Amino acid sequence: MKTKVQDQIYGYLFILPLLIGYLMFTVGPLLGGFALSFTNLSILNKNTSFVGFDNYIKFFESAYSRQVVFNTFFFSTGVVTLNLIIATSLALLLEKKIFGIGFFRLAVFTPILTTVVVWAIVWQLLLSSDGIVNQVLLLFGIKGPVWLFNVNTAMISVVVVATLKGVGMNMFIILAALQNVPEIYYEAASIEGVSNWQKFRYITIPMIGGTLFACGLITVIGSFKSFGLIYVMTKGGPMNSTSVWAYDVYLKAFQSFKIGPASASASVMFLVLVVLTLFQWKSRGKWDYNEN
Amino acid sequence: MKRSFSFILVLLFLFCSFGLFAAAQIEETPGVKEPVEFTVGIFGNETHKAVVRSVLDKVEEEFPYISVEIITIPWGEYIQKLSVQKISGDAPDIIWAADVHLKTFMDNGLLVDISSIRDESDTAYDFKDYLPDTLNYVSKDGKLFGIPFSTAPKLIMYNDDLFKAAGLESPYALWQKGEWTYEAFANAVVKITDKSKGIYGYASIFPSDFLMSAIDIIWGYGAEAFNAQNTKFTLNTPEGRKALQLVWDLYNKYDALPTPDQSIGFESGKVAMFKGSTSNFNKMGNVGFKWSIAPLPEGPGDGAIQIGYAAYAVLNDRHSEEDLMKVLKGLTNKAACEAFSKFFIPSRASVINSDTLASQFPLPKEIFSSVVLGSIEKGRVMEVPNNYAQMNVLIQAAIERMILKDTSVEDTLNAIEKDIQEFFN
Repeated sequence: MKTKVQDQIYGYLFILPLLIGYLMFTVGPLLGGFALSFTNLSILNKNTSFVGFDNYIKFFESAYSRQVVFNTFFFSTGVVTLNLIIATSLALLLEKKIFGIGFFRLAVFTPILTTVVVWAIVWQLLLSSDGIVNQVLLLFGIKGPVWLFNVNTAMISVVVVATLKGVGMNMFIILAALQNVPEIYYEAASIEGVSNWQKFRYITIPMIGGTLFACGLITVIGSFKSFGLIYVMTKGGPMNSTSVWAYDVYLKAFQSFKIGPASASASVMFLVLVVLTLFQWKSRGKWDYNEN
Repeated sequence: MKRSFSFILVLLFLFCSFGLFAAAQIEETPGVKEPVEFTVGIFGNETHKAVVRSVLDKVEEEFPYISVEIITIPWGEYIQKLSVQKISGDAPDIIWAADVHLKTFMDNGLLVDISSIRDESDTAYDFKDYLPDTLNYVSKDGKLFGIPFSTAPKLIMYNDDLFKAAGLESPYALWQKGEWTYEAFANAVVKITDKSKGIYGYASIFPSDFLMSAIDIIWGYGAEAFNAQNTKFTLNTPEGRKALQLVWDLYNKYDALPTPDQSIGFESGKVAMFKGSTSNFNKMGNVGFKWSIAPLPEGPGDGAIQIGYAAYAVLNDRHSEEDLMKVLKGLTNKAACEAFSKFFIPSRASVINSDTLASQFPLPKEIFSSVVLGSIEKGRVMEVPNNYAQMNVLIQAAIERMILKDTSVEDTLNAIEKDIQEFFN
């Protein structure tokens, strides 16, 4: 009994440094931000007072906020869907043991190592009205749109650019999961005359379901936090069509210096993410074969 | 073991005591001042920094106990970084502050009153040399919160080769004849623009900061973006509609302006006209075309000319006022203004009226004097409301809608007026 208690004490002592850091630098600011959302704190103004739910009421009443929330969901859905499809496809392709495959794996992973600002600037140049993308289209007699200054193409453009930036990481995680699927299942299925699609549908997907679920979860959270790409490529335009939640928080906090409304916006985003994560977690049984 | 440990402790005690005694002696020595360190925050480039350094070297030479460090902060992050630094108590003592920064800091009571610099007994500094009108923008309730170092009027820089190629008279020639109007300006933009060659007549209107970039047109037509108290949006008037109609025509009727995703510098030689100021002249060293300057076009309004205003302001009063004034005066005395005049037009009468000012720029003296100096007296600083950053998001969206969806001028102004109303309440 004494040893068990001692073990527990040691255990807590070992995690104490991390716990202190987590409480100070994650939980503390989180609670602090939530508390600030009930004030009218401004970076520049020392006079702060309690305003109750005013910041939240203004957030929900504002048509701009509603557009920001819609844009964020659109952006997130686009990035998560595209990312998982491309990452899984690439993982299946790059799983093959052929000469030089390492180069292609590296090529797909490289954008992860590039800073988001550099990535965004390069794509901004590629997608400008006289950029390379439109020059290539012109070779085929197609006059390309002004990708980043067109309500119909701006959001799609940033979704694609954000997906290409992050797809390498998910591809590697899925690749690792694919390599852990026992070959024997495929061999047995081949003997039974199962088609490649059926193998993918009934063996691969269930076996890597847990990994796909984890990738989906991480990508949803990551896409909600997207800021750098939007800031560099579109600044939320045109007509606020690419203004997403994190960018809205930035505008309120560091352009208008209104910390109260910015904290309210961030708190709502946090709650939405918690609800989404819980929803995904509850539905993990459908994804992960091992959960059953 | 114990004895040697005690011996070390005694030695340590004696050493510390001696150090403290020596420090006290230095403090008490008359005439020897404690070192004082100042920091100066600027948003300029390396060339600007070198000039500030040379000016501060003289201050450090004259007052050896003062040392000054320069901190360069990129323009795009300037106000954000300074605000956070100010709140965390880590802000530079003295800063460069442009018009938008000054207003924000002044309205929030973050600047130190430097009225004592007006001391008339200091004839060497000669505060009266500053043009009184240029001090209005940094004065509030009888207090002074800044010393301007730039009052450069906005002007048109034009590519003479592109005007000649289009068979058009230059803006300067038209201005001399009294024909440099917004109609002539629009005519030139339309005739010179050739999108297939990537050539544009004008590239200084930005929907991302529309009011700031088009304020010269707005004022030119006799309109105002906001009322004098900055409590009301006042562009939705017949004059304002005329000003916006010009922009609407250039974008929608003639398709003669670059799309907002394009960033085309005047130095590229592909832009016929650019709204700039003297600080842009030093980028024109080796461009392969002939360029010159003209005043902003004239409209039916009173012709106020936008000033690129910037001043030294004080964020921290952690040092004595005497030392602060030594550094501040060193940065804003006549010699310093002369050193800076190759970038910025100072507001010291003696420097503006000197022959050396015009000789700093690669332009004929008569053109420089008539365009730059002639515009100063009509100069005006664009003032914006406190919530301008938030308003600008909605103004940008409305202007983009006008460009992309051909929304009429009336609908655009009505939408802006309605959208930003909440920020005035």
